[in-house]
Amino acid sequence: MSQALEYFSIGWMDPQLFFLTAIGTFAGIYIGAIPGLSVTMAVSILISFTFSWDVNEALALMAGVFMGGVYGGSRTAILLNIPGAPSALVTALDGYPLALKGDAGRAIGLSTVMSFIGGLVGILILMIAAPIISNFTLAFAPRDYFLLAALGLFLVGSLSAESLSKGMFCGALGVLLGMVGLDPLTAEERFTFDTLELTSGIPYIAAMIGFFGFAEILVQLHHLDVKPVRQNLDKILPSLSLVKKYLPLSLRTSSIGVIVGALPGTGGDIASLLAYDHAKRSVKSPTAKFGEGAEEGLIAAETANNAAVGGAYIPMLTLGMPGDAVTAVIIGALFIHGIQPGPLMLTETPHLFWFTVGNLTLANLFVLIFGLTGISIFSRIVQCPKGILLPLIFVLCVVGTYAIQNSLIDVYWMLGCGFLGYFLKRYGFQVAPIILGIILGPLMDVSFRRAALSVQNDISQLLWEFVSNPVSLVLTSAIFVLLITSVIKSRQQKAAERAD
Amino acid sequence: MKRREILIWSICSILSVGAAVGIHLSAATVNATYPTRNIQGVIMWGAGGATDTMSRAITPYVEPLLNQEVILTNRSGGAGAISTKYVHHRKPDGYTLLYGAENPQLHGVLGLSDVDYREFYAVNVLARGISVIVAHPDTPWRSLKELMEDVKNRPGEIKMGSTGPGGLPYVIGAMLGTQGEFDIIPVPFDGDGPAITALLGGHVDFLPSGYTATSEHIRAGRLRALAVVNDQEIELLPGIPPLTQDYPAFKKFLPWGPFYGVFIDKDAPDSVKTKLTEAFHQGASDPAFEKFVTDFGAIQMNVSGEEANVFLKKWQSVTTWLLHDAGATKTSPEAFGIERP
Amino acid sequence: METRTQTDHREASARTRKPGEHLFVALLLLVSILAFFLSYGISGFASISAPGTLPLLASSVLVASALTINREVWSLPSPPPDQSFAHMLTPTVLINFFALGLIYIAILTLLGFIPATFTYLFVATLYLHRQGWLLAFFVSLNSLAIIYIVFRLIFKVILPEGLLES
Repeated sequence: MSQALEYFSIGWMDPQLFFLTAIGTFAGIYIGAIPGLSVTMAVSILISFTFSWDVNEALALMAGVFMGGVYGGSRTAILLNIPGAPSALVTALDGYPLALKGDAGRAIGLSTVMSFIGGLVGILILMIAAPIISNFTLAFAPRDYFLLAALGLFLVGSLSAESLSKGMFCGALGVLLGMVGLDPLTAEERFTFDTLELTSGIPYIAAMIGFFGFAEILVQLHHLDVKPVRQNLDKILPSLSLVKKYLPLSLRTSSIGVIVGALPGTGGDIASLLAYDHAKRSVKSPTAKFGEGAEEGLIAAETANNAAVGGAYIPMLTLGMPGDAVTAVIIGALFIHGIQPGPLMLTETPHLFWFTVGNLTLANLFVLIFGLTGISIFSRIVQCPKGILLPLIFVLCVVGTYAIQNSLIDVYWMLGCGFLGYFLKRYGFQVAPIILGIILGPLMDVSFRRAALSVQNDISQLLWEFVSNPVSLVLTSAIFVLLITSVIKSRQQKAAERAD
Repeated sequence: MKRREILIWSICSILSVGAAVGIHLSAATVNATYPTRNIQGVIMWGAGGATDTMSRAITPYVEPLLNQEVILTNRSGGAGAISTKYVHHRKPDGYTLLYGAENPQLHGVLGLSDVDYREFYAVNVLARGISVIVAHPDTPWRSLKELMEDVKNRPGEIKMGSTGPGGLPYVIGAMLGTQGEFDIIPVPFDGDGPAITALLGGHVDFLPSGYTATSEHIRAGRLRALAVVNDQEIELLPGIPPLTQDYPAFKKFLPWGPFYGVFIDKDAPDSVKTKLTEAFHQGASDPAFEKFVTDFGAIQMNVSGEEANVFLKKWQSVTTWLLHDAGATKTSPEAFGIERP
Repeated sequence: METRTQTDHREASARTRKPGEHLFVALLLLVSILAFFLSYGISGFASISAPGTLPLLASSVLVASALTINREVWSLPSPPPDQSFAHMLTPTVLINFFALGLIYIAILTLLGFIPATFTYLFVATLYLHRQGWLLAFFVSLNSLAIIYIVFRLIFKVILPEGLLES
């Protein structure tokens, strides 16, 4: 134990490591906030940058960037309705309406504290239960990933405010957009129209920037002369009693975040979507309607995506397997620094585990510190005249999209998605289900087909496996419960309408 | 009010433009011969993959020798075809490098693109990966022979982790299939990582995979290695029999494995080719990089030019015909002038 | 997304159709049907694990929901005469902004990142903000410098090069 504590404190005691973690977190917040600059990209760049450094220094910097980056995505989501990263998509749903009401400061304050709590829960579970969780995630068969994705698609119901058919339309559209390109399993071309450029598909960040960022600019052009709402900057920091009130919810959504984050192939984006759905179903009287500035929605998203960071480290530190794209790059960095990532890492390089835990804790603390300073300056962005802000955001959308993989085609995709998104928005469609479809569609596709192939396309066998395996059974029953409650709810609503 | 606003903005502008110019100048050094500016390195696979890691590992050794920065970007898609075409379409001035793996050699027969490494000059083929056939420890097989016999006894029951056509497990599966009846259930994954995770969880029974991603699991006893895809035992993996031990007929396909290299358009000027070849050769000879390659579970090659071409040609011939005979190609290798091995 | 306009919409849609809405949803239906045939073209109904299975399923949902939406929209009374398509969806400022954006991307590949972005920012700010060219000039210069520092110099993003540059 004392050994663990000693390793834990390496990053805290060494001034250089301490400083690097701080720098990393600070930079991470901005990387996360700018759409198109992703944490994965930043960590990749850091590989060359930290090449000649000591491995601890490199890891400290990377942990900071990771922690800060996941949090940073919420900034632009709240202030401009442009999620800086896919994992902040859900943050925008309730964060941006809050900013429009003049509560941007409070929304940022709340999301910072909740990110901190989420991050902490993630780290705690990593610390206490990493081996258990990683063995648990190994039990997830392809069919379970399929069930998980199907569960996620139920969110379409949660996200479509006005009409379910519009939500379903957008969800299905998203799934189809996600299918464009070479099929990852057979290399068959889908919706490519025989052009090479389309074989790589539509990068979902480009679609996200289009449907959220560019479409929002176009909507905002209608309100050029509307004076921006004055931001209320008095109560930025949430009170202790408020935090206490939301603690049960945040613990539940954080746990969802850790598990989903620890599953290889799923990360903060899916975690926050599932957490949001959970919040929407479990919270009876939110502060505002979900989608119109409910604090509970913001909390669910922000706790879950930060908790997913700790989760992503679980398979990396226990098995040497990546939990998400960022940890995949960190594993590459370990190789370059002469460490063999694998299941023996825990015993052969024992300092690595506790050092990482210590570092993440430190980075999480910096998220809290940096996140809470300078909020008032950020909130003023919303007050900036639209005539100045909109062209600048447009350039950011273009550069951000181009930055994903230096491709102008992606920029055209972004424009197209934005144009379509604008019309959809004006006609009362929600664009969030589209992104949901783009994120979950491919996961659903490959895992379903993998599951089907494992039983040689025998549907009855597949259905039997859905209920005969413990993990699958839990997921299948969850789907059934959701299905039944949704039906009952809509019946009740219809009955209530008729009574009116 | 308005005047003050303008004043503030102009001060900001001067400061930030000054900073931009300052940083930019400090980054650029005056140099008369190639390279005079930053070089763009295009990696054909995504961040965190084997090609990405290999590319990011070699580059810092080369940059000081070229006296320029190499800016690496990942441009995955079309199994590498997008990057390959992109670099091929750029001006052949040596300012765009392609960091690639074996994939373009198969693009023709798989109908993805007609550009392969014949359109490029091999600056350096850095290393080739070792592949192993691994099984879940709960399975009864102790050797490849036992596995192959079990497959014969229980056709259509054993699950093999695989990929789409052209992927490493797929090709090795096709190799195994040349030894008579081989009726397994291939479950395709989109990379080593997900496939190994599934194997660890027992969702597939065995998997041909890169050694890099499996080595530690083998050492920890979480996976059992049945054979190494090579014609002789490999130092790194003592005790694991080569593929040819029980099946000498595999000899004609070997050595076979993924490889990683750096390429430029073949029309680049000779001086550029020489400069890059020298820099990469020296960089790859650095003992620290050599150690990395070994740790990474690969065999260092460090060859360029004609020597590399011989290797590339043989690789292409073996693999395309193997795939063609397994019925996985869209066009016959013959159509591209690829000779049968 | 934006609460204020959303509530506007909801009130409006409860009573009348929005201008052009029926044509838009009809177009969506058309695209959905096209998507269905394209999905069928991938692998037909070969097997449940074929690459075309999920696309077929998704496009079926697309067609079904588009049909429902069309039924809903076409049954609404037509929009009041004071609401026009141009006013609600394509005001001049929007068309101009979109056109400016397209021109920006076109000159991006021609002139390269720095001149194109500066020109775009300057013209767009001047057009939208209308507070004089001096302010627009400094604001654009400032924004450009910051974007350049962050993307090109710090994060090493390759920005579009113009044909004239290289």
